[in-house]
Amino acid sequence: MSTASSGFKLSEWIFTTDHKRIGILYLIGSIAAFAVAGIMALLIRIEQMSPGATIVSDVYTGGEQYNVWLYFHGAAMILGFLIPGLTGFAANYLIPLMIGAKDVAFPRINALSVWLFWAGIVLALLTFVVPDKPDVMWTGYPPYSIKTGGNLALYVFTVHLIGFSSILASVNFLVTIIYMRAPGMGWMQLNMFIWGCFTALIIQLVFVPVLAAAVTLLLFDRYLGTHFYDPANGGDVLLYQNLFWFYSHPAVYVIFLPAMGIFYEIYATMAKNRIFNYKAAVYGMIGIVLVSGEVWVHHLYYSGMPDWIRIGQMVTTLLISVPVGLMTISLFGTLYRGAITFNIPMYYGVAALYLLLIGGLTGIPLAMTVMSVHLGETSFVHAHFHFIMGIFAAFSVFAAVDFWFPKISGRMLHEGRAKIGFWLNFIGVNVTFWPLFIIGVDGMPRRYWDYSQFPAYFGNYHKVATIGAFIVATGMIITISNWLLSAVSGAKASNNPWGSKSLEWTHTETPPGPGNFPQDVVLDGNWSPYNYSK
Amino acid sequence: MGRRLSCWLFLVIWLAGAAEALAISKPTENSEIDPNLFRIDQEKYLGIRFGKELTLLQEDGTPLAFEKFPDRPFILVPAYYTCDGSCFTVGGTLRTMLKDVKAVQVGVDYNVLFVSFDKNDTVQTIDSFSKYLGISRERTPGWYVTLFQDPQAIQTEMSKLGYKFFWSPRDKTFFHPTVVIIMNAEGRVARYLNMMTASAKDIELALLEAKANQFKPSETVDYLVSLCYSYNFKEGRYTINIPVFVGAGSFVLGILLLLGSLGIYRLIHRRKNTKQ
Repeated sequence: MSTASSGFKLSEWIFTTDHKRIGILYLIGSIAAFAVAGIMALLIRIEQMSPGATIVSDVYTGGEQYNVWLYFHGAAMILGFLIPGLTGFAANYLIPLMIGAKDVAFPRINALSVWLFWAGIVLALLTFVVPDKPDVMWTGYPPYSIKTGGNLALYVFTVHLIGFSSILASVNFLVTIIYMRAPGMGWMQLNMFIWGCFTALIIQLVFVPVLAAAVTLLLFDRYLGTHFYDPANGGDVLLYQNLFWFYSHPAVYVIFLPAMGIFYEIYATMAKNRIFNYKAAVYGMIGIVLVSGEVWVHHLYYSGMPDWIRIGQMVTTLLISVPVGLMTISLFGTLYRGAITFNIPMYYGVAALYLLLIGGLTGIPLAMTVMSVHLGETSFVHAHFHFIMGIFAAFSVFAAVDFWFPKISGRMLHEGRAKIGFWLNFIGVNVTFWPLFIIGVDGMPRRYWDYSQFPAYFGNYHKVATIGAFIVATGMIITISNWLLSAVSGAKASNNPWGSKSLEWTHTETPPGPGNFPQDVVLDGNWSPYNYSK
Repeated sequence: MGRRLSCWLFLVIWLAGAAEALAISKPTENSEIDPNLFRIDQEKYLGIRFGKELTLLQEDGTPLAFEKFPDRPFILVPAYYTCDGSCFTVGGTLRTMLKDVKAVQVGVDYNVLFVSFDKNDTVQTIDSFSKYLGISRERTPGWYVTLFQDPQAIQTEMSKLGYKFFWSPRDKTFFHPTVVIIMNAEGRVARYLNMMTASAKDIELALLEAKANQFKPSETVDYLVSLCYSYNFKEGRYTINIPVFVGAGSFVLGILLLLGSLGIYRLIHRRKNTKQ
């Protein structure tokens, strides 16, 4: 099926096996999840504007309401927006185009995975309908998750659906990248975004089944009366945390690697430059895959464990800064002596470097056992992971949409509105999270809806953070509505408006038609998506 | 009349006798001991430090300051040495079981410490108890049979561990739990094991857990094996930790999915090429 078919037919979209349409379906679903999760974030921030009950109905059930907001915000942002936004939307739309393939390896499985994802989103949204709303954060830690009156099944089945969708997507794209590259395209000629996806999807494929298994046992404990996580009956409550983070820390790299890949594409194209130290950056990505499975314990420093495990995991956690450092230097170096065009994708690109720097540097004390015991359960870690994972990755999705908008929609994005949206987003993010860093160091705990027992000045910082959240919300509304308006009324885009050397710009129409490429793509050994010096 | 009276008398005597017989055959309520009285609420006591400033007496009367006790995990066995039943059974069972514990070695990696909770125990009773179990300082290094130097400390120290016992004057015996307590090198409670159900494997796992901070590279495999078990508070022993296997299986499944899908794609592709 073509993306460029005449008229809109719902059935064509429902039964589509075209990777580009599937990518757009992922984008719509992930933005929907993002919007609702964003509303939850606003509720959380409004509640924290002042100590005591602000908008929760009363002090006795306030905690439950707050937990439901936290649950949906966390689960929908990570499982519904960031991962599907990058490995669903961006990977689907771009992988076949960048490697010169006509489609993915298993188109029907691809269609199944997007609808599983949508089913997961619908299930997550049922949170607001059922009377016993899930209130188990996105982590679902027992024993609370087993004993709470909240609906655990909704959480578990949402994880199952989205997890299964992720596994299918991973299988599909990995096979596509390995076997369906255009003739002549070697591994060291791949786009950095392809490398980002390839490495991220390996992590996803290997680790998601562990999460699925862990939550399934949780379901059995809650509803079938088993005792897998019940220490009183031979279960191991800490094991759940281990299994959960065995997937969920690598999940950070499932988000981080394609996000970096997107920024590489933008930097190289807008600076008209080769990727600085391409091989080092690729090895950095592979290095992250290798180390990612050995760092999860830093989420459990305060749980009972032998010191040698703590120290070992501290070392591996710090070790991961080496490949990340290689990638960051490579990204920054790509700008060196480049003819830089500062347009909206590049705005997000430069902001990403700043977010990476702040998020990365604040991660170092958290990797250290001694510091982490103090900071790990405070709003410091909350601000840290929002910088490095939440905002960095969200900016990468926005940058991706803005950068490939001409290719996807056939129209140019309205630059003025996009810039207003960007500045509001960027300023708002800083106004929101810097105060949380400051009071986090002073001991403001995470996940507390009422902080009246803590110093009164925390309230002032929370007020500033809440104002920041509303600035971000305004920026997001402008950004997303600009996409819709520009898709309808933007100026017509040429096939390659950025002058890129990558296949999706040089060898396809705008938007790409059925089969992606008018002619079969055959490349030689000298071809590179970053051949700007020639 | 006389006959009728005799019959009545016989009936009354028979009923009285039967009633007495029933009363004798039915145990008095006082002799029934509810085992739950001795149940140790383990979660409350894990990590509790035992005998920080305590001095014990050994079989030759020499004091053993607890702070000078070898810096390694130990099995604490509360007992009394004039016991005619369970203490000897527990001690004997432990002696036999520890021969099957291969991953750690008594006297090298851990010790066994008997302490008496009976204030009437003396160095003489220690001697007879030790002889019965075949324990001596020379022949069984790492085994200590001791009593409290200060009998006043017995109740305090045993209560700290949640260990309950009482003397029954009628039965002339102590009622007490048949547990051994696995302590880490700091002298803190790591695990309680019920000696009626525990096996050598349970003891080995508990000791590995207690010395987790000090394990040597040569014990890596033993330590990894110990992760496959989790302690069952209800039963006082270790049981297989199923989620570990489920988690590991899922991880392998992920890898197989990748390899399998590559294989399937190649197969489909090869068939297509052959047809063409």
